[in-house]
Amino acid sequence: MRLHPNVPGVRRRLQNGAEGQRKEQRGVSRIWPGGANGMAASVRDADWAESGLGPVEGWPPSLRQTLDNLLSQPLPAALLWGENLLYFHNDAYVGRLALLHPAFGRPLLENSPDFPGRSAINQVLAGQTVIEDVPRSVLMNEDNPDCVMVLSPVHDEQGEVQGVLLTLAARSGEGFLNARLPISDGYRALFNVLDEGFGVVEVLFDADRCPSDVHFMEVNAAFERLTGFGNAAGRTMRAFASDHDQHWYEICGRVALSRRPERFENPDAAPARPYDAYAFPIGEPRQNRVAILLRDIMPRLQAEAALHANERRKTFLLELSDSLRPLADPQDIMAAAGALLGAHLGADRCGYGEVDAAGDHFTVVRDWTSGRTASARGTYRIDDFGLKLTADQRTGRKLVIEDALADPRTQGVESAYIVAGGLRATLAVPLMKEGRWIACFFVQQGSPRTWTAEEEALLWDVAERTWAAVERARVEWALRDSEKRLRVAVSELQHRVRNILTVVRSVFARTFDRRGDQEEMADHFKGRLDALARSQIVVTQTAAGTADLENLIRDELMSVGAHDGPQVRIEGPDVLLNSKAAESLGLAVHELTTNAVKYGALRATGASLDIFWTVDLDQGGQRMLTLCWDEQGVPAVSINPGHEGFGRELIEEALPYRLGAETKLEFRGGGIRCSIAMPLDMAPNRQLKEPVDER
Amino acid sequence: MSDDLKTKRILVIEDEYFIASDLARALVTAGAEVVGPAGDLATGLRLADSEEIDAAILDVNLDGAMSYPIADRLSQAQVPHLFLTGYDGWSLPATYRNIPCLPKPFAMPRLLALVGRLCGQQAQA
Repeated sequence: MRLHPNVPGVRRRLQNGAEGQRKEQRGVSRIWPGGANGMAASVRDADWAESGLGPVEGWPPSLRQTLDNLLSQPLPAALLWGENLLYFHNDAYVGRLALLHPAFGRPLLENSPDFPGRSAINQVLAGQTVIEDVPRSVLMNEDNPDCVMVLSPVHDEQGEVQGVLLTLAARSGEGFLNARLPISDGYRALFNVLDEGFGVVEVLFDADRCPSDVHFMEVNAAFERLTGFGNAAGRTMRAFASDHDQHWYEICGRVALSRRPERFENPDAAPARPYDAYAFPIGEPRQNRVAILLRDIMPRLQAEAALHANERRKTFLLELSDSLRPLADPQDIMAAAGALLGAHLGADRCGYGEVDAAGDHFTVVRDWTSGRTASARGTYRIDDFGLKLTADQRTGRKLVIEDALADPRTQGVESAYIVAGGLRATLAVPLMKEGRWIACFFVQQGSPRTWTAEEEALLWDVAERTWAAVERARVEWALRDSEKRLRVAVSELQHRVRNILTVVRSVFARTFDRRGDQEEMADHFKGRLDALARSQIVVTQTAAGTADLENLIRDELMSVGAHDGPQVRIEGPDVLLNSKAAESLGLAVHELTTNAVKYGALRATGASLDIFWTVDLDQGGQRMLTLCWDEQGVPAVSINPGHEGFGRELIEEALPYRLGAETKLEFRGGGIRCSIAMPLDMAPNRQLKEPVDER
Repeated sequence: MSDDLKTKRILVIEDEYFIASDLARALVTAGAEVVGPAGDLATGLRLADSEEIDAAILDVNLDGAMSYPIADRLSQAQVPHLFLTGYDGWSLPATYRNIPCLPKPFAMPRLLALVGRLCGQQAQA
């Protein structure tokens, strides 16, 4: 029998040491063996002088201990001791087998040739435990035919096998002999369908009144299921040889002795199912019987766990929403969602990635890692991960890999997983919008991991919320951007309108600056205003705000009814002018045209007008436009400088200032010749020549 | 018209020829000397650094470039200046909201009076 240091009697013995042990032996020896049963009395009363054992006081402690156990044992049991196999048995054994037995304390072989365990005795003496069938023919009680004899070795102080312990026991859980409680069949049926475990046990005490074992007298199916003690009825708990029995012995022992019920929960370190128990005394006090009711608490624990998980999930989702709400940048949202979920699940990497419109590539902009692995940032070709795996994602189904190295689906594409960080476990859910796979939320582990249903459900929730937050941020971003651009556009428009009004004002002042015919001046002003308007229209017709030089010139000529023909030639490559150049050049061409209509080539018969331009690169590599206005065959006229002042100022002063142009205006015999050379791509502003600040 | 502008040296920064030329003419008529006019930022900065100036007229938008750096130089040198702008006041950065601002189109007498006042302040300071 095993020693339990927390059994009170044992502890006392250990504390008292050898002297205490001797004192105890002497004290006990006068009345040993104790107990009121018949066989204990037989041991006490017999004269052992002839047996070879001598007086009981001199018996080895191993023998006395074994006899103590045997005599208090409710199961039928016997002991064969020493060289001669001296025969002892307990009260329960009496009359069990229809055999000739030796007398109590006599050698077995003296009078028992048919002893069924005889052949096994040598095996037991060699240290083995043997179970022998007991032939039906030798059983006294026909109700319990399925009976076995358990033969186990008993060791002495030196560890030598000195005896054979023989116990009769039931093979099945149907109980044994009278050990079973008498219960009617109706109650037994009820008993076995109860959800609660119910069992009646008898507590076995050692010589020190310490509970040493528990004998299951009756148990129902639920009891066996909950405790994991299958076919328990009729057996003792030690038969199950588990390390967690001590609680049972102590609790049942306490209840048996105190006669007070106790509640306890889950005393076992590893019960088959968690339970709580109620133990209460039944029967007569001397029977040491305790009834135990067990209630399965697994459903309650599961419900509690589910409630707790649900609570945690809600708290987490709330936290997620709170964290994402103030974020305006879609990338910040992806990063924050990955970080929150990754930390929550204790993962190694977690993030949100998007699938391109073609469905070929998957891009992770910002993810989260535990620090134990690299980031998944980057763009990946989806098919590199294996068609078997990505097919699920494409159709909106989750991807679950518990161990990429053991998963047949990742065979042949391991390199992609190594590139992606070599993570072993992956759980990923795809997001489908309008039938298209657009994004994926993934969580990964460096070691193999089994993903729970709760984790999967949470991932779906987080994926959906992250997508919504990202889209919300994108829409807001676009709206803000468009508002900003609109503000800039309005502001630019305002600037241009006010500038042109200021220019119009200035042109007006210059036109009416001098004395002259009011009507003629008004015509001049209207013409200039129209020219300004035309260049504005041409410029606003294109998205880039540019004007085609040739169109600008043709429009101007057309406004006075002139067009190319034998008299007018227009020739040059395609040139696009920005709004500033178009406005200034437009006015200049207008002035030249007006002059030609009034005094020059467009008025005189036989005269001609050549308008041509080239684009060349200058020494600095800049594109230079050179535009020539060449009138020929115009009879010499005296030019009224009063009328020509504006045009001249425009060409000689405004174009150089505004466009960085070099201009030349010549009044020759045969007509006006004007050349304008200007940079096309960049028009550096120049200082005005007049009024000159000579210093 | 007061004599506030007589012999004062006024920097004119304006990219539109006709406006720049009108400003220059009006200032000269009022007895001032014109520094510039210039229509681009680089020339404007050079003039602001190198010339002796009593006050300045700055167009805000010089063909897409803002004239703020010129205003910064002038502020450092404690030269009073004003902005001409086609924009509404709200589009000016906060730093420049204290600088007098004349919206385009503007009336010349009003501008000359304002420049005169700036020169007067400068004289008192």
